[in-house]
Amino acid sequence: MKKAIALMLILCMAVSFAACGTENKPADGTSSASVKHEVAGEIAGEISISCYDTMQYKAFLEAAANLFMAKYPGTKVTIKTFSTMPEVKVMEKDGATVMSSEITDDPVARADYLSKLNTELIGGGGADLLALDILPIERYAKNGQFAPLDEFMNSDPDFHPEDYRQNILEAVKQGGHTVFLPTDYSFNYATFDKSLFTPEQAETLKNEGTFTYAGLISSAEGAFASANAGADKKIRMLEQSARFLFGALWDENYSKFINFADRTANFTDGSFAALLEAVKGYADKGYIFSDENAEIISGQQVFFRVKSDMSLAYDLDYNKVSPIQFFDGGSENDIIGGIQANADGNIPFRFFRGYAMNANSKNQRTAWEFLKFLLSEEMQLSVDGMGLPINNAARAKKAEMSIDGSLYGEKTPMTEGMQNLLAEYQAAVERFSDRINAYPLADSTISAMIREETAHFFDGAKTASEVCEALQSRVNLYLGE
Amino acid sequence: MKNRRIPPGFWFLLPGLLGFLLFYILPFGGSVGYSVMSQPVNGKFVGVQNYLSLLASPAYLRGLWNTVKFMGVSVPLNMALSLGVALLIRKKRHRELFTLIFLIPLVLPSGSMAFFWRVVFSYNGALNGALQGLGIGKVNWLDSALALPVMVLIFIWKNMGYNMVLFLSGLHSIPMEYYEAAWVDGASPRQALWSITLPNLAATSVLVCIMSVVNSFKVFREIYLLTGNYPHQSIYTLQHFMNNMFASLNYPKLTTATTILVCIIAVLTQGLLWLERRTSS
Repeated sequence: MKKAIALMLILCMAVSFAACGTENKPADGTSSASVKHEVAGEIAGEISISCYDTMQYKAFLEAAANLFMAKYPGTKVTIKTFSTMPEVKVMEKDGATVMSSEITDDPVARADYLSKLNTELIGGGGADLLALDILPIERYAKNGQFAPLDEFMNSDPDFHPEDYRQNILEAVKQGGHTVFLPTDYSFNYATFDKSLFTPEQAETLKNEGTFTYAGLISSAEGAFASANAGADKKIRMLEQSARFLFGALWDENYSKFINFADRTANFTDGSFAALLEAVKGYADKGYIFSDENAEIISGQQVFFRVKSDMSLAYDLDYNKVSPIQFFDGGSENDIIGGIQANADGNIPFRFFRGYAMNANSKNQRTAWEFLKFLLSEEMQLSVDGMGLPINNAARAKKAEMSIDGSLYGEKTPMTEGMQNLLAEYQAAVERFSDRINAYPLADSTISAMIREETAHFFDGAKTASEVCEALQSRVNLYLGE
Repeated sequence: MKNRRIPPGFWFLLPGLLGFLLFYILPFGGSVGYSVMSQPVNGKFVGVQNYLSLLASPAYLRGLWNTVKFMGVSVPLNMALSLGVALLIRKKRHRELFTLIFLIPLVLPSGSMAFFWRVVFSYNGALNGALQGLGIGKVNWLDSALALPVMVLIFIWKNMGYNMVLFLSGLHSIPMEYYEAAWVDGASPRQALWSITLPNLAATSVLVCIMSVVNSFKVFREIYLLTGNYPHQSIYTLQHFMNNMFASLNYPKLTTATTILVCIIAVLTQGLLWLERRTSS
């Protein structure tokens, strides 16, 4: 009896050990040969894409999937999204029907999605393509959960890197490898109100250099004092709240406080506390709004406006099409100043949609083709596409379609003013985009800790030094894992 | 030739045994397999490398130390208090009512419990409100070294009723004749406790100890609901480490930590069962 039980136990252990090894491919150079084989294979079968954010991904990806399946008969693309769509409220106001919806962040749903995804991945499954909306990219990449895309990019004769923004493709590399691809990009740029500065100051600000938030504020302290002397209603430096500005300053100074290479945090040397106190000081002086819930009216006069998307879709005023209007930040006097740089001098970008290929995918050939399809001109010209297309031809064409209205189904003949606007816009976008050289992988866990702890400071529940100590402890614990 | 007939009991055991093999041994075998691979996907065999790097990980060692510390404080304290309460109420008229009251925390859902304790211990919570009313400043209960005593309190509050029931059952199994003989010989209540009650509760104590150790691992749920993935360092337990490794898909570290934990629990349980056999005999 004992012998029989022992034998069964040994057999079970042997089976489970064997299961660990059979699916694993070699991690050495032989994988490249298998990728070449994959790229030469047939585009067929079923693939799936997993996303958390339903609102951002579902409709766009379903449209893409339908086009892809029509282009490649014999394929099936399934879109799996997780978050619930925000509830749309319809009400009557002054005789008009007003629709509103509130987008709320649900940490429990996020955790549930990651838990579900991890359970699938740990079992050797999961969707073929993973949207990067809430994934801890750095950790997944480090643990080899993303298939190396550069091997597909190098082996596929139909993929031409020069068709895309190459500095973006370079910036997203992890340890020399491309393991995820953004389909769009955007960057922060600042405009300033020239009427609030002397002509000399305005000339200095207009040089299209780089800026940091701290630099913007210090450059306008004199002008702020003179513009607001004796005024009843203050003209703020920025149309932002203290918490928002702190978030932006945190992004700017990330590398000062987090060293991913050494897995260490530095919150207790006084500079983080100084940053917190500085933001509070800005609010006290009236440079920014102190309260998150203050009535921050977009379009009011401010010294600087930091904008996150140099997109005609947001900035173009069709009623006043003119060469300078796309820089309009709500005031006719707004002039573009420069592109945002981090404290380390690098010029970062962000993306709205990005994807990685699951290393467990059994149909990498079709998954790669779908990813390529998302990068194609056809999909990058979608009106649902956000940010600037990473595809060079699509970026140029989308700008033109935005100006002549064909992107929205209302094409109008191009006037000379519109032609000038297009030329100026495209030149500005490319001029700024050429300077991008970094994609800082902001760790979502650390960002959540920062938001949580600094909220206590702005609420008055904790002092700056208490926040620093708590963060030092928590972040070090996280990095030490 | 020797008759090698399979005993009928084997067939009764077989379904349970198969379930145990399928749902426990097989996954554990897979887990041990992952613990000797460099990564779950396209990984290679690395022998004991993961074990060595885990034992050098400050977060793992902190989790291990905190778990040992938590167990070292909460298990004996919980046992002592539940034994004390069991001794106090065993002859009371409303023993059933007391038992029911002490068992209520055990059936409350963790989510409601976490909500209740958050209301009590959060920075702007009820306790700090009361302290302020008394002219004492606010205390950061959940985000300072005081978090450990708070967690011990929650653990005891939740598990004392269960242990008390076990001790009550042990107390009832001690024959009354022992006490009657002791009283005839002039023994004091304290002597009766030391010489009759405690020695006869040895087997129950071992069981209570095992259950308390097992339940002390489950306290993670409450800590997690109250303080999240990365709480104050003093209450970061092994389960935090393993949960976070799962969230970040670090299977080698997760499975290595699991294997070590299973070994520790196996040794601990065997030690306690050996102790029980020794005391019983």
